[in-house]
Amino acid sequence: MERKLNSTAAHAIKNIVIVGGGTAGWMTAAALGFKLAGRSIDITLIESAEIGTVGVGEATLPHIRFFNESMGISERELMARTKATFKLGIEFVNWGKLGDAYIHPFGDYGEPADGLDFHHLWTKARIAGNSARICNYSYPVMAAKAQRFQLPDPDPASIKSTFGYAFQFDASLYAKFLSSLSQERGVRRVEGKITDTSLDSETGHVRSVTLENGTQIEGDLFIDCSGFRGLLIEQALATGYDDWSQYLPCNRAFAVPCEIVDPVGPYTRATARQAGWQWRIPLQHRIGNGHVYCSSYISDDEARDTLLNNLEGPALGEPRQLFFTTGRRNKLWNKNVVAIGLSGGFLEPLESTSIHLIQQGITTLLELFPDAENMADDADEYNKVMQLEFERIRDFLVLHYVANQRDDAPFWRDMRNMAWPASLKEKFAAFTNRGIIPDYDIGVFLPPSWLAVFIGQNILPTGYDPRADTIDSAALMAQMDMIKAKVAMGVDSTRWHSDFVAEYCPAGSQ
Amino acid sequence: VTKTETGAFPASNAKPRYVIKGSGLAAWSAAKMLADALGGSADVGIIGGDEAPVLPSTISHLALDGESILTELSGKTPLELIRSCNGGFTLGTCLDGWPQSAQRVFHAPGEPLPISSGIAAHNIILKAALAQGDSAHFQPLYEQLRFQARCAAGGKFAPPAQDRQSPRSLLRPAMQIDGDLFAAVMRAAALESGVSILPFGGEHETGAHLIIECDVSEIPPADWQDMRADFGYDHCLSVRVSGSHDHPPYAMARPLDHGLLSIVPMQDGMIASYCFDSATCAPSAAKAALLSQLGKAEIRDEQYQPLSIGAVSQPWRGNQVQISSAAAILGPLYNADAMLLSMQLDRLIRLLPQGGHDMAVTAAEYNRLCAIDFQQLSDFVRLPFVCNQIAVPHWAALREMPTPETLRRRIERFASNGRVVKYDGEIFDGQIWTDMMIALGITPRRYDPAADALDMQQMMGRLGKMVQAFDQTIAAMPAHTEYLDQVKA
Repeated sequence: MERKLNSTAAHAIKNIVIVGGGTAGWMTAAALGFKLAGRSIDITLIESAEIGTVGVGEATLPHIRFFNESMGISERELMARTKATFKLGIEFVNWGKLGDAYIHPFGDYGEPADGLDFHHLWTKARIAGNSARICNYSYPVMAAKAQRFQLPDPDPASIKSTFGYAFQFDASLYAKFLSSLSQERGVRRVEGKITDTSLDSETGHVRSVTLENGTQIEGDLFIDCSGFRGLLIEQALATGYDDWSQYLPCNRAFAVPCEIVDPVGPYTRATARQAGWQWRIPLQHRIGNGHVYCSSYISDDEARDTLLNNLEGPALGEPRQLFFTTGRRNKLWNKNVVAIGLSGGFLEPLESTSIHLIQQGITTLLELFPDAENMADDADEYNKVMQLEFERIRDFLVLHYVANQRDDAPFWRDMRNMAWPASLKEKFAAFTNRGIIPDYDIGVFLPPSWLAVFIGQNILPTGYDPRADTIDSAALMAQMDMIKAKVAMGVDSTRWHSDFVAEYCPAGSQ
Repeated sequence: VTKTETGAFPASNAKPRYVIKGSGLAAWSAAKMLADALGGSADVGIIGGDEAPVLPSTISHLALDGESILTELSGKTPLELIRSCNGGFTLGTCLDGWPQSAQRVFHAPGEPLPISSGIAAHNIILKAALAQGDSAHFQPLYEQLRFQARCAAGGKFAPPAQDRQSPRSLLRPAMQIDGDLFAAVMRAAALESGVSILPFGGEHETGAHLIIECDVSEIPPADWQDMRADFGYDHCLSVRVSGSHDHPPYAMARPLDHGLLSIVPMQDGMIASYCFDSATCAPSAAKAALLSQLGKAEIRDEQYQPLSIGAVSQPWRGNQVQISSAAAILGPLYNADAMLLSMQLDRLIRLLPQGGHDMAVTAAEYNRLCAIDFQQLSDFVRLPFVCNQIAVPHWAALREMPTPETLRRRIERFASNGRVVKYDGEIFDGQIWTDMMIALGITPRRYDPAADALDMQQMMGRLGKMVQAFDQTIAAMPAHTEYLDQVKA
């Protein structure tokens, strides 16, 4: 099956145009500029100071570290420049019932024994009367609660090796950092507002964009990072949007930073409110806050007041309102336009997936990097990969809403009773019946994440792997006590998060 | 095999009962697995374990690595199994006459090659081949980097090295052993673990917590997905060949005019089978074709059986689970049926239902996972059928068969940009797919653009040194037969 090789050079992409700066635009520019350095490709990023960026995605997932490392970015420098703190997970408050709190960690619970996953052992022990919460067996959860942090121990036998970490950073500073880096590495930045888009009459591909000052910029491949409006993917190509409001109905948010009053811990917090939830993302110099809500259940004024009444310190400005519709474009790559960031879709930042989806979009684009001609097959593949990524994150987010037992507000009752995605229904039944956790290779959330949310929101398995019954109960309890003690001792010998940050990456030190 | 019949479960019938129906390796393995996993908390019995099956097992031989669930269940070390099961080591399968006659390729699943600068080696080699303006260089250049395939082709063998700097650290060998002898080992192990042998006709199935069926029935179940046409055979003639032969570290698969010949070396000869299309080839013609491939060797244990390639869509219904040939058959290539059995046992043990709980949930999850496993494995086994260029009508027709969407996507994407599509529940790593697709003649049209940032002179120098180290290591390795004589002593 010898295939004829195309002349790569003849059809190679020569010009890439990125429309929009912000986090998505500059992450794309930095990665493409670095990874495609060996090719003669001109990369141009067009941004306008007149158009603001959303820039609320300040909390990240551990995958961001690999993204930065792969471009040769020093973690310490990045953290110092973006005034970042470390993140071991997300605390969810009031999600199951009012008064509940749990942390979804970037790490494991306990240790498997005799080929059995730890949660089966914990379930057996719980049914037998052990009252210890599963979080007591997780080093990252207990370290986060105690406001401790250190880098993972390279020794896999250490309890301090059982976690990953991410950052909480100022996304606008991250974009600025990547902007200088990209421009140093040859990306051309053009200041200007796009007023027109020209399409090829035969192929329907975008041929060029025209700026307010009349400059025309041509490209073989366009990356739309223009945010919600989707300047190219929607306004020029009318790609269409798959609206997921029936599953995730929150459609507005207010965002405002506030001062820090107490030392901050290495975790983000999401507190469920009357008709939505409030985020709290602590950085070195301020705390990012926002209130995501559903406008059918609460007025804008009430939502704004809810946010302002629940800040830890004085607000640093007026709350900014955002409007959105959860979902994604019918095609994230249409013709020669790839939508990355908010132009591609929006899933509320409950699990810090906004920047991750940007990263995933960039990585997938590079894996499928097309020729200037015949890119339809690459586009199809990209859309398959990214659609699955979006859908799996959607299911995971929906779980937070439907697995609630709150009776204090109509919003929460309605969320509990709404139509679930079928794929989520199966996962839910498998877990409650027998402790079977969703396990797939494609998707960002691994079994410990599902376990954290299920158990954190009081969805406890009634059954477990019957092989656990072959383990002597006393021996099992001793083993579990030993893990709990190991976690507690590990946390005690871990440094304070604030001390670690002050030494490792103090703001302004680079 | 000594028949031991206790005739009933132990008296204490308060425990959940697990009943296995079937004979041979699958049944004894399932029984041993359950007895070990559940300890004294359940009773495990087997009905028909020592009886001859209605149809012979499709697992007459199997390749196992040291970490396989079957190896673990046997309680034996790899060397003990090789000694007691007439076996040897294997580095893979030689597809002799693929992609077209007079050519051969190896499926030799070793450890992934070290990656330079995050770029897989085939991208660098493709770039080098394109720079020379001739894609024909690509495949031969790449083959030089397939260490395990080269060891197999040279008939060489040595155990994997612990030192990551040694090319031998790339080896991932398995044991190739006799299925019947291994079944006897498993039977003894199961009985030692407390498995009861139950008579036919009793009421042991009544009230059983779980019933596991292992043997294929003469009439496939209604939900059997028939794939015989995709593989081009529906019957199998197998024989054992006695006598002292060279013992290469690989099995061999060779296309014949009406099907596929498999030859698996054993210490005392070989096991040979011809899977053929009964619509175009009579049994006598199949036998003549098989014998013509074996020369004047002495044959014994001739078995002729229908081969219903395919799978049931719902192997677990109610409290009955079908495994092995009762659930799915893929035939002898790549030891696929033994692989399926291993995967089914692994899935089953992780999803054992708890007494008093709704079994439908575990059944649904088991069925979902088994469907993924079957799809993955059948795609991989189908790959050489789809990519064959054999100038024989039988094989030309197989080229024209519709390709499953999952496999079609893999081939097209690889041909496009050298990337291996990743699905949930991958059985084979990307390197294995890459090796086979390149070996079968698929040359990607593009390479990873990041390769353009590499210093090609330096990279090719580095790859050249690797090839040199491979050459020297292979030259110093003993022949497999020689190595086997040493370890058998």
